[in-house]
Amino acid sequence: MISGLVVHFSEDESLTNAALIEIKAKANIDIGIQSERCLPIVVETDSIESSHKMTDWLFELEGVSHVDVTYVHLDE
Amino acid sequence: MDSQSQPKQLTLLGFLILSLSVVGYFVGLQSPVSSELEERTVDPLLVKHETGADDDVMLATHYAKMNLSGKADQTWMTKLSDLQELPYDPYEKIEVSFDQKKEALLYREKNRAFNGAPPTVPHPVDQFSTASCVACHTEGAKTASLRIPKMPHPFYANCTQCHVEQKSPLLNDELFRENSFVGLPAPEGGPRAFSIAPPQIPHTEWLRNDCLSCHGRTSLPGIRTTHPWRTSCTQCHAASSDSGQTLIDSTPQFLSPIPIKK
Amino acid sequence: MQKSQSSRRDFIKSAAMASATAVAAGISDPSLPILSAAEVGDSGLEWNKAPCRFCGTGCHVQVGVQDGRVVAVAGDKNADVNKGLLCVKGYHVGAALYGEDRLTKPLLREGDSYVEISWDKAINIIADRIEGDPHKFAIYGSGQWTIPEGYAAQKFIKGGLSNNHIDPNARLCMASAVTGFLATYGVDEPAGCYDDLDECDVLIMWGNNPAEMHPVLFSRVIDRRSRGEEITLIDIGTRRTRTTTQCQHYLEMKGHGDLAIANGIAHLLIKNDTYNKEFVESFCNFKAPDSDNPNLHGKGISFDDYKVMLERYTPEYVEELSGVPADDIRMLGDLFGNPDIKITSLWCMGMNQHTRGTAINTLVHGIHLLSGHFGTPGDAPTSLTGQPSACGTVREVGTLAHTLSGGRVVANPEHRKHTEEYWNLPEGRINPVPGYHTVLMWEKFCTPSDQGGDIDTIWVQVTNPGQTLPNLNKLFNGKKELKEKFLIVSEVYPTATTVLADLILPSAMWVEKNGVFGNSERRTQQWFKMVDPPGDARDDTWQTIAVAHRLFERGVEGMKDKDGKFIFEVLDEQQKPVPIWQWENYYDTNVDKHLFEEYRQFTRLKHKDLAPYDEYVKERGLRWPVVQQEDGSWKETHFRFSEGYDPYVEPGKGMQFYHSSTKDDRAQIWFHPWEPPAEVPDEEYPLMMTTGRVLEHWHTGTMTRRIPELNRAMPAAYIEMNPEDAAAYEIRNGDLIRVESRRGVIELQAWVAGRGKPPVGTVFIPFFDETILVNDLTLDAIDPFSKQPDYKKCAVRISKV
Repeated sequence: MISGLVVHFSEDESLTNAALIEIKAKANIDIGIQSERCLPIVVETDSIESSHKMTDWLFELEGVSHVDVTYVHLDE
Repeated sequence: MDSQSQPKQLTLLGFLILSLSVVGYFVGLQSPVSSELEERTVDPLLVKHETGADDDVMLATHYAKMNLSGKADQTWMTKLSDLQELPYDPYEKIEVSFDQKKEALLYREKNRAFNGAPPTVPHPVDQFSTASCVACHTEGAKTASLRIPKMPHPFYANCTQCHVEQKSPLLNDELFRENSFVGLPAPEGGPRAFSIAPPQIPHTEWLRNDCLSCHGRTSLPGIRTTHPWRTSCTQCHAASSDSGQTLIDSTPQFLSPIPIKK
Repeated sequence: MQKSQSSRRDFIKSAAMASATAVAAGISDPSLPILSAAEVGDSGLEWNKAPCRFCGTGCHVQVGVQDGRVVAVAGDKNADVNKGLLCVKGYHVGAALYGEDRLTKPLLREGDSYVEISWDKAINIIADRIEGDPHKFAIYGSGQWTIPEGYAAQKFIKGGLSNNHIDPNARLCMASAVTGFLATYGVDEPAGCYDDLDECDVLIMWGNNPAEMHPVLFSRVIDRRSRGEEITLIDIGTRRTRTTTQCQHYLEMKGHGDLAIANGIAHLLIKNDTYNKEFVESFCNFKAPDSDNPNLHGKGISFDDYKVMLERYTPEYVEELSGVPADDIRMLGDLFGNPDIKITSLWCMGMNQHTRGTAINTLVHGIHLLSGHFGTPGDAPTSLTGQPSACGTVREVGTLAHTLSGGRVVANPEHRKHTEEYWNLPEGRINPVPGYHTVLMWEKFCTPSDQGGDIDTIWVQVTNPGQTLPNLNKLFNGKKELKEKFLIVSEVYPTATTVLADLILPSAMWVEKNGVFGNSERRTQQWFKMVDPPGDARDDTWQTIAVAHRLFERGVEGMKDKDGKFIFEVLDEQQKPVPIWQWENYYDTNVDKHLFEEYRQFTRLKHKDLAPYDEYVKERGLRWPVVQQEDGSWKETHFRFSEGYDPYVEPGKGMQFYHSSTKDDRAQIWFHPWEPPAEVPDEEYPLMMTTGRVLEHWHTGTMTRRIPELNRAMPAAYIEMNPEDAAAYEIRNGDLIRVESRRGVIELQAWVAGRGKPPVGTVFIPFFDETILVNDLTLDAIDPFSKQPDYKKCAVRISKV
């Protein structure tokens, strides 16, 4: 399952950088070109549940204020 | 727009379906079964000769039939697959200007009596068969010279029941009598709860439930969506239609408020 | 489009990234420019229900009204009939109100032109004409009359003037369907309904082109097929049409071939022993025409007599008479002989406009009864109507020259008595002698008074006889020279009829007034006035009541009931009469509702029960009989005569024809012989001509030709011919052709194999064009029982101009 997400970072730069490092460390996340405090990413998981978990994990990172789901592909 | 609103079942709909291979399928599905189609190819007014093995030879129209201008025929229909679609980049940046939008709405006004009326057909139609309607308008297409709108509603078998020619193929189309009917104009935009909220759908979705038909890539530039990769339109754009399509006695009921003594 | 698994995955990922990037980059950009958001959502647009103004299908539309004008129309999703769909005419029905040349003032002829006069003067002129000789006055009405309009006209002339010279244009349209139902079931109107179209396995169209004439009903069937259901469509016709192309079988017949085909099917059912013995033995009798004493109910015959009469109608003999191959007749015989499939027959003008119209109607009912394809959903012989209230206003209200409301007839003393009681009239007020039927009425009107032309004034409402009567030179144009004759026309536009009118009255139309229609499937439909009529145009019901009251003021006895009160008196809540004869007070009360509630009393006798007016306000129509349930609610009836559906069938009967003409609860299976058409091609006039409609235009085009979208698509009448005939006459598309019959001549353009394609030797001309009057050519020969003319067959010759 493939989702397109937009991660919104908080105003605190140190927290943002810490969050970025954690995100980059995930093998199943592709990182796009950051625009101001918004980072487009693509998450690939093997089930809907793990996709939800990944979104929740992102949401709970310090330095992430907000996550938008822009795209979901379900059929595999 | 917040992360709590988890998307529901989003599936990839858009931009894959560019092929016109469906033409053959639909032509096959149409079962006019009567021998009319066959019979017309041996129309006595057509030049009769053996076409032999070379199927690419197109029968010439007899001069006597020429002033029946531009009638759609079998040949026309089956050659559609040769049309070259324009290359399509779904991520191309789309910007819509005020003027383009105005232009699109004016164009649409020209071929329908009011917002919601079935559009009239700007080309000759086959008097007998709907197969040729279906061939082009099931998916729609955009070529260098043609914009073929996609049906915004499910397939109904009798296309000419609602869509008539803009101009009679044979007779002078001068208006018989002036008419002062003024149709409901198309809305210029949907209402928004606040400035950056997604606009609501300002028209009924009845018979217009395929949003991409009018707002997708084969649409007029002025009403084209700026975000075609998002295919679950009604996820963000709520209905706001007021076409009176509710049963008279279906007023919603609520529980009485809590009685609080002062 | 094939893609490998991994490239597909990459594609999806790139799409996901693109969407996320786009959002990240431009989250605050509004997607589309807003031109004038303030206007949106506060448009002042109001929607309300109404049945469509055009054909007898009875689709419901939602009418959008803004600033006192109709601005949009949508299919009504809550309507059973059309389920949200419409045809192109329905979508554009709103524009029918806004032709620039709407009539807005009463106009009185002065020599070759007209002067505007007041309504008061117009009413006086009509009252004078009637008082001059009340029995030489006639009303010519229509299946486009609303139920209250027809009921008011009926009460005015039959109850007020003791005069039965009232007949509607529906005489030209479905009179043979009426006689067919009466002769078969003893009571008029179809037993089935449109639900049959959702259930049938086989749909047979007898001389019917529903793809253009009743498109919403036809789509209901062919859309089932495109959803994957298997339905066999059979077109029995005299010309290839848009319907034909959707059908698996096209049985091209000669005119009157239908009589032979129906007999051929009956012959095969008996010969193959596939008729439904149980059904026939339990529920049917046999009938044949009584040649010594021709009458609608003929004479009873035995089953053996019936078999003998059918003996000669072998498939081969039927082929000889009809032109339809014997194998196709066998196919029909096998279909009817198969009890496991459901067969619905549809017909309209093809079987009704027929000099043997009553016969062919009874024969088609007969094969359904003989084979037992009757009375369950999907098994039904169903006649369609062409006008929105042919059933409601003509057949149910009984506005024909020989009928009274609720299935009664003037010749029956009991029926007259009921009517006088409901109307509170003195005994003997209603004239027992039937009035003139349409063809006779116009013949008398066009005959000089000193030569027996004893109709001197006709008041035409809601129709256009100057275009639709057959043989116009005889039945209409003759009026021109007769100065003593006076033609009054209530209309919304100038028409071929107003051309000869002496007094023209501007009328309100459709949603400019309250109304009630009754469609082809027994469905009664109500709507409210939504916009004002233009200028001084007024409701037809008001016009009738205003004339009645003027006569009442002048002391005409007939306008009083037996207590001396005005026959159209309407009381308010304080029991005071409302002066509804004054236009400014007409809408002080709902006159429609008062008339409807009075009329409703009549509907019980023949079990055509109607619900109270207010029930129809809530519904998208209800199919009668509408019977009140124990809980007080009102329930409609889908299938008549059939136990479990029809509340009037006694338990245990299964099937009960409770108005049987033989008083034994049985339907009549008729034999009628094949007979040739009234006129057939010969050396002098070598081509058969048939007439009809096209999708875009309804009736005489007075409304649809004023709607730009419809008129551009079909601007003028044309002659349609077979390419072989065209080649023989060296005719090309667009050539001007002179068409002559023994009765007249017209000139029009050729369209070779145009909208439809007639067989060799046949030409087709639609009748919608007021400047190309095909009825200058048609024949005024009529069916002996229904008095309905045959518009579909006459001999013509053609030449290039």
